[in-house]
Amino acid sequence: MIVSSTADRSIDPPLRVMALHALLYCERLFYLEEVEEIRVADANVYAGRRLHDDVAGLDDETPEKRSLELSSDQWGLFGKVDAVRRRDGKWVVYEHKRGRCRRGDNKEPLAWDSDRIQAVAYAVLLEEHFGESVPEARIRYHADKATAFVQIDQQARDDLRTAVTRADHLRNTVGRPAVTENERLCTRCSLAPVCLPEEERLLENRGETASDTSSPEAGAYPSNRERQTLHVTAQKAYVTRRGESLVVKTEEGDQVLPIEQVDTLVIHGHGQVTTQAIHLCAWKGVGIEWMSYGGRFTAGLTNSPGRVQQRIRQYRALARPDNCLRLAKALVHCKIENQLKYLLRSTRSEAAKREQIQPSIDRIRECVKKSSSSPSLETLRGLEGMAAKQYFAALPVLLGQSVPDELRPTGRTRRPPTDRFNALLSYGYSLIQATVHRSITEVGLEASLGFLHQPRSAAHPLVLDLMELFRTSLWEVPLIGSVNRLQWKTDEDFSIAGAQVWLSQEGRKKAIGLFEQRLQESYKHPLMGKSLTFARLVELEVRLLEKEWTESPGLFAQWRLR
Amino acid sequence: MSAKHWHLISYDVRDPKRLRKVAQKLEAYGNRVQYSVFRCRLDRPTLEKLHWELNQLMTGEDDLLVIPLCPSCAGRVPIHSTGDQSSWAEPLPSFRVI
Repeated sequence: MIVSSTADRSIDPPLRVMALHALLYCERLFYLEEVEEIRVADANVYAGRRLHDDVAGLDDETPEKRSLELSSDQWGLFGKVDAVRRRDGKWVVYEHKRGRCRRGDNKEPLAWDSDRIQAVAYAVLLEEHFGESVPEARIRYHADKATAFVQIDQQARDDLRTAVTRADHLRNTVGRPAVTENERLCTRCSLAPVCLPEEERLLENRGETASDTSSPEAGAYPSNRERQTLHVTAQKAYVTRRGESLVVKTEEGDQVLPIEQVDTLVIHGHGQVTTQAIHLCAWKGVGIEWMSYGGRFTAGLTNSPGRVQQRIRQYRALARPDNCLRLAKALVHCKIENQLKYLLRSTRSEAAKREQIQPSIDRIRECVKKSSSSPSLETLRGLEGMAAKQYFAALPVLLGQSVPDELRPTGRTRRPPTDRFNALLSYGYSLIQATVHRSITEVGLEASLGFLHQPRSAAHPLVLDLMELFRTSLWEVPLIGSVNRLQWKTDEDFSIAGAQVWLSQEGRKKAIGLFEQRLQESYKHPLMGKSLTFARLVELEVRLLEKEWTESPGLFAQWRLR
Repeated sequence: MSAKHWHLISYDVRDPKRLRKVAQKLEAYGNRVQYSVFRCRLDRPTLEKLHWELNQLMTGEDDLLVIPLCPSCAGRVPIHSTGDQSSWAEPLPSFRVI
């Protein structure tokens, strides 16, 4: 048995012992961490690391080795042992854990399976290293100050071999293992926001969701924005690095920003960023995005490791025309229906307005109906365009009486926008594009391969695809609200060059503020039954899109405006 | 995920080289209020991360003091301090435009 797996060893690189711990905890966790190399350090991870640094020495004189690095070609394992101590003439492995131990029938402390296999692995590595047997390992659980004893016998060795074989098998598969059945494991798992176990389970028992959604237990989805987005709009701005802070130099003086408080740096126009600052951002996982002075998304940069398995799956899925059509249908349906719902919602109590746009509403409704049975991508694009035309024709009706004529649009114009309203629309769309691009890169998908927009396009087709989901909710809704509240000044907020209209410096700041506020607003997802911010919704949709081709299709583009 | 709170972090580091590194690390997380006193708005994962990173830099002879402040405590900071301390009372916005 050992011989056969030594042959495998030449193919697979050695495995971290910690990975076996993950494997026994949850196979999906193992796959995400070791194969897809997605690692998220949460509070417990750091607290655990600190524990290992803090563990004080024993008061007796027993010989001890700390943090011993070991590896074995025969087992295909490597790792760092917390401590090894000489006890009664034998070496004993010590492993420290922050949590509580498992209790046996008589309340005696026992090791959890995942901890046990880790201790066993260290013991066999030590045996090989010292050339003498290590009969025992001890796991110290610091939360309840208990020590569990693990015997290193034949059974332990067999279990370890089984685990290593299973790990090798998983490392050579492309698909993610299923979500674990034990839900309690997920509440303490650092990768839950990536794995989305609850959404997965939601699909399995979809019939019950209706009752779930109203229950108060359906918790709020945490915001993924723990830090600030830094927009640099000043024209002579210069972003540089000082220690672990970003310094933004402008004509009004310098501003120092702690890097850990920033999640994305967005450069609007011609601000400069030094290479040192780019290095710092890449190291800390802070994205940088560039927008043109006129407000077009130019480029984005995120330090995202090449997630090979994710890409392979995406390429396989989107190379199939039937998949593309199915996803495109869901997408277009979601987009048009949101447009329709918005028109209906804003004219609900105003019969005169409703009557005025009734023909448009009827036609959009027709497009919604046809989109779910459309035979090809071309028809879908046609329907999308038709609905958009009607929608933009109806949109001006939603503007209030007091809105000045300068802010009323005359149809949809772009490249360049020829009136103020269109300038605002275009600017907001590029902010959405930047946000969606950031989410796609963070999740690890390839932005150049989409399903509705053709891959020949210069801009990233997947970004353009997913943007369609959010145009109405993220920008048109707050924008029309702000126009109706008369928040825009027709002179100061715009700059007009011939037939073209752009936003001025002031106008840009206002638009960014409006957009960022919208991202922070929360919204209750009809399917998940949970409140989440729009910022989080964007990321969630990207992850749900990936689920369409990994394990559980049917959740993507299901949310609707209310 | 846990909410963010203000933390007052103060240190005594007994070696100039380590002192600079510790100060630089804290500058990455918050603002300097006084010479060796920092103010950081942190949630639990970030606090643990900072704590671990500081642990790597400091040795046994150095001291670290972390004082978590609840929102109402932080709100009372401006009352008893000199200078403009109004920013203690309000949460950090989710974006910043320069």
